[in-house]
Amino acid sequence: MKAFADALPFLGAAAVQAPPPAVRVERPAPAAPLADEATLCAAALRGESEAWSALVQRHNHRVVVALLARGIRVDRAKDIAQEAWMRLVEQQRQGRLERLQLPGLAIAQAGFLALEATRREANTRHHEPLDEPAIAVRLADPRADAVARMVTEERVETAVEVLSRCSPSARKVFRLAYGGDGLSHAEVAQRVGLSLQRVRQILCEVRARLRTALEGAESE
Amino acid sequence: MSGRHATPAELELYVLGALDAGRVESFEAHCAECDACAAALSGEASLEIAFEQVSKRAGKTPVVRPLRAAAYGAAGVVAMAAAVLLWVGHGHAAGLGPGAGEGTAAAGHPTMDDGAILDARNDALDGG
Repeated sequence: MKAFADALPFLGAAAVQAPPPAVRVERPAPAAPLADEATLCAAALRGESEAWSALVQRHNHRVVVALLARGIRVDRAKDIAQEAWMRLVEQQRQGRLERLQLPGLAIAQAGFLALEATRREANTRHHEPLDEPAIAVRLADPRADAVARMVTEERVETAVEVLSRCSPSARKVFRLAYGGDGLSHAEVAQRVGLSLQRVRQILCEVRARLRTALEGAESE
Repeated sequence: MSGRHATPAELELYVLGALDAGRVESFEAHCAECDACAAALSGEASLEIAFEQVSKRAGKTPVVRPLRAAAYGAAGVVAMAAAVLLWVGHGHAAGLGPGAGEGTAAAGHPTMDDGAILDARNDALDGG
C-alpha cells in the first residue's frame, strides 16, 4: 500500500496510512493549455501518473459532491473519494481497467465504497440494519421509490422549462458547466470567451432561477 | 464545534468549487461537526446533481426558437390557404366544365363525383 502511494504523488504517501488525513483537493483553475479529456484518460490507462494526477484534480470535487448528496459528511466524503481513486489506479495496474469514463466511474466506485462502509458499520452495530427507519419504510413500501422518481421527474421537467427561457449564452454556460464533461469553470470561460468571474456570475444567476423553480415545484 | 455556521452563499460556492481557499478548511471542519450545516451542504450537493440532470434533459429536448416557430406557423397557414384554393378551384372545374379550372392542380384531370367513385368500387368488388 505504501509503495502504491509513493507512485501516486496526487494522493501522497500519508494518504494511505491510518487514520486518513484531511487532504484538500480542490477544483483547479488551470493556467496552462488544457489537456483533452480523452488524451488524459488514454494516458492514465497506460499508467502515466501525471495523467492520473490531472484527472483526479479535474474530477475529485465532483466525486465529493456526489457523496455529499448522499448525506455523507464532508470529511468522510473526501476520504472515500480518495480511496475510490486509489482503487481505480490499482485496477488499472492490475490490467482490470479497459475503459475510463470520468467522473462517472470514480463516482460509482466511491458509491460502492460508501455502501460497503455503511454495511460494515451496520454489522458492527449487532446486525441491526433494519433499525434505519428510511430503509424499513422502503422495504415495506417499494412504491415509495417510484413516487420519489416521479416527483423528481416533474421537478426536472419544470427546471428544463425554466432553463429554456434563459438567454442562449446563459444556457450555453450552464450546459458546459453541467454537461458531464467535468469542465472546470476556467475551462468553460475559455470556451465561451468570457472571464471566469462572469461565468460564475452567470452560473449563480441560472442556479437561482432553477432553484426557485425546483422549490416552487416542491411546495406544490 | 469549530467555527461559525455556513452561509447559503458559502454552501453554494463550496459545491461549485469556488469557495475562497482561505475559508475552505474552516468550512469543512465546521460542516463535519455541525448537523445543521452538514444537512444544508447535503441539500446543496443534491441540487448540484439535479442541475446535471436538468442539463442532460435540456440537451435531449429540442429547442423550438420563437422565430423558427413563427416561420413554421406561417408556412402552415400558407399551405392551408393553398389547399383551400385548390379545393375551390376543383369545385369550379367540376361545376363549370373543361377548361374552367385552368391554373389549378385540378386542371386537366377528369372530374369524378362521389357516386361515380362508389360505382367504380362496387364494380371492382363484383369483379367487373
